[in-house]
Amino acid sequence: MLNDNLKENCELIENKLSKYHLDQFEIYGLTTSQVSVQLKKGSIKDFTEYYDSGVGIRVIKDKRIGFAFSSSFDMSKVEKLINRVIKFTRVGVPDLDFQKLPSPKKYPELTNLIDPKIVNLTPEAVINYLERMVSAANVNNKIYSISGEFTSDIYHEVILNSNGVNRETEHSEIDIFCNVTTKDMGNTGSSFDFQSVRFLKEIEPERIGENAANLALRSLNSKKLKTSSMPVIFHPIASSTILGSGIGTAISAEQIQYQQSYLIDKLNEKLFTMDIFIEDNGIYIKENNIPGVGSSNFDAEGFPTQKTIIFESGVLKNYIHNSYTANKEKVANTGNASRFGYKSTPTISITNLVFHPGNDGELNDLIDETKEGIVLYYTGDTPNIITGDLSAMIHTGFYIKDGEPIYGIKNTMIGINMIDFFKNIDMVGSKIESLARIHIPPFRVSNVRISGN
Amino acid sequence: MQDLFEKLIDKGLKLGAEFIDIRSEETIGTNIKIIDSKLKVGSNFNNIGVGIRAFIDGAWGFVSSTILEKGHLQDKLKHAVKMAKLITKNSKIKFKLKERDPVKEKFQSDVKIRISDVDITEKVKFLEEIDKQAKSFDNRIVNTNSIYSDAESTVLICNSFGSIIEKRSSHILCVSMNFSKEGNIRQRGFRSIGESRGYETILSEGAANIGEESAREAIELLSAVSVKGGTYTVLLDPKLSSTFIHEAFGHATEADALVAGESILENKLNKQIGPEFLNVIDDPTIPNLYGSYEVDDEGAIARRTILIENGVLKSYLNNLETASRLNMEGNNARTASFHYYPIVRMSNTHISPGDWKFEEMIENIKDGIYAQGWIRGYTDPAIGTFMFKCAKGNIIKNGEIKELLRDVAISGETLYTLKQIDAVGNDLEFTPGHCGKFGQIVPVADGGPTIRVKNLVVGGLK
Repeated sequence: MLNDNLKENCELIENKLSKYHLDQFEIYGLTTSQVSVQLKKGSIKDFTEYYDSGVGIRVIKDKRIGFAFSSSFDMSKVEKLINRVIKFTRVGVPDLDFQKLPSPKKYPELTNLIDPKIVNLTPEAVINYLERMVSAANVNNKIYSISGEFTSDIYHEVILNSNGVNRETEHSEIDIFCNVTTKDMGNTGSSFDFQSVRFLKEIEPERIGENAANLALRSLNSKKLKTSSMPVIFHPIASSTILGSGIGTAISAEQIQYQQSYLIDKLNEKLFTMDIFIEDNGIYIKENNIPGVGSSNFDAEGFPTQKTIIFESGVLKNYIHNSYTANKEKVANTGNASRFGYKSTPTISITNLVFHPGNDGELNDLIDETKEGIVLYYTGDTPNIITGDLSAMIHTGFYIKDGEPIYGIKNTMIGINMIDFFKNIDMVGSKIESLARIHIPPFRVSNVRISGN
Repeated sequence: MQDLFEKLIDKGLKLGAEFIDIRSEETIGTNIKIIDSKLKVGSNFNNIGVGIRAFIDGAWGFVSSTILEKGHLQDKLKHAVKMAKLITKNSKIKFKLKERDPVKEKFQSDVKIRISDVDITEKVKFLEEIDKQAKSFDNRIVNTNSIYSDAESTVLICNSFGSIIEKRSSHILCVSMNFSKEGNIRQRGFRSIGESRGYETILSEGAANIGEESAREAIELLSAVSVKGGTYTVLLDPKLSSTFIHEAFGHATEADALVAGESILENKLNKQIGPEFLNVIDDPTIPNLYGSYEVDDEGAIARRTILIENGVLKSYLNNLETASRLNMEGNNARTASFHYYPIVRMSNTHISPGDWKFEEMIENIKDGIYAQGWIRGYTDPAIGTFMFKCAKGNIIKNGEIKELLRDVAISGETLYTLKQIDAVGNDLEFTPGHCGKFGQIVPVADGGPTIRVKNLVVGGLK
């Protein structure tokens, strides 16, 4: 456990708040202890350590809500802040849709949320991971630059509220990232790979270094494609970026209630032509018996996490909720409250978005089956959640001819509306790749608009 | 606090560090969000902490904490020095820092009305008015979002060059983002105002109607059509040209990318990279813009940097490390908070205005796109590619503005695109925003006039 007195400090604040005449209140304490080592131009470079402990406080009176956060547990400062924030419960239009904060429930009993080895992780061991990644990436003299980072985080979370919720947990996350730049005869290529996992034993620095180098080498001498339409195969990294937002954000009940999602009024409609199954699973355990990065026993309001079916045989079945959106709509809370640390009020996000595998083999099998098309490894773009339109730059992608990726692509964009994306999926890979909170196979989507020459 | 920091610096040097700097920060502020006329977030905050950095022969050890006790900070200092020693033992990158003259000064943002002196009731009232403007503009506005945020910071920077700097800054931002709906079509309108000053920004003319302006855009876009993908001559409006110059070009001038071997501008200094009429400047000294500052986060006095002069690349942006490695001046170090070490950042980056009028720029375009505003975008400085989602666009046909377009996205290669600029307008505008890099988000302002670019890829669904 982190020796941070977080629970005691939150209880002190709870005592103070109980003396104000509030209808409800909530205290969310979070300590983050992060160690990170950077890599620049193939060499170990800098070390950073981050220790942040703070508290977010919600106060509710007459359906008016105030929020305060503080990185200091100096009680005189906290008290001043409470006095200021309580003013917010006296101004503005009350939010009549606000009902109540969660009450205690029966919770799942996931274990292994923290890697015990991470507590004793030495900087020397971190340097070793990075050196192994560099060795694997440094395959020939076209490799111009290798940069990257190893980051380990330990989180200690405490949630108390005036309805009796009293939860505490510790969890870990480890991220490793490798970016490779290649140069050859005046041409430049660049690509990357990463892992985001919970346990140190899941880290594969050699695989990440090799993949990043391989893609960056293959991206040399890229060409611009002609404007046309053709099938696009989405590598799990590309599909996790597009669908993490295109589904993950679009199914948030906040987006739906504010009419900011193209999936409004689509419940119980068959949106995928194929029988696709997708769930949001807050208690997901991966094949290696380690909980997914998004798994936990309770959400950011202290409500139990669960498995929620999102698509069943291609039919949209559910949106995801926190206590506010569920109460407003008088439906069940799905335990998807989330926060950006103690500095934010709860919003909604996916826990683990888990796709069921298909029957079409590995990525290479999808490529083999494609006469002419594109295999897209990475785009930084996500769809417009309001309209569902996706215009995406091909950052790392290759042109396929007769089942072979023959050259890299540059200066070319793909375009499709997400509703057509769902309809046009005609192949689904059999292997799930876990990319942080998205667990996804490769897909092929037919008839995607290509904008180039 | 200053005495403690000076003692810690002495201790760090005795432990073997070649350089130490310590930054403490105390920020207080307010965030208010009104959604659909309801007060959804009314928040106050304080953010207090310290970042300590030790340098030894090319390696940094950096430790941050929210705990300010003396004993705790002494332990953190020792750890920072220990880590710098460990890293330098394992690193191939070796260099010495270029000694600087000490700066001992206090700096203060130009503030007429302190944001902490304004009662939250008044802030909420202003935001309710913005929200009302949007809500009442048209009954097809189905969702309104009005956001206000302010922050007052006091930062103390001490370093082993002997610098002792106190800077007090004030930032204020207001955003109106609204959504319209007609049938199955949903669209978004967006306006913002942000400055490095006090509450007077909110009382200014520029802030008065942002709710209405944003709602008008959301309604107009309901009749917009999708663009046909392809390569076009594109007019970029000031909001988009300023985003282009910041994202696609500006990030490649940041010398940390350069020394990492990840910038397309490597070996391009003093070379022609754009047309002779193109001038690009980064200037934190322009008063009161959202990206302005008097002194950077390593204690260097702010100055104007000419990046492109008459089409020739004249300089990079530097912090203490890159300035030392490249033997240049370094005044461009910024951090998002005490939790981060200073990295090379832009401030108010802009294209200088040219002499073209808008009508002259458009008259010879037979088949083009007028792309306006931006929603999001990204760039890869290593290979020099960029992509921007624009807020809206128009078809240009035979020199005339035609149908309104939605979901226009432009993409290209920076070095190629700079050379395709064939006209720079006279209508320079600055837009406030936030720039993210390595997880650090800092306030910036981007500026530019309307520019005309040939052969630009426009993404579309048709």
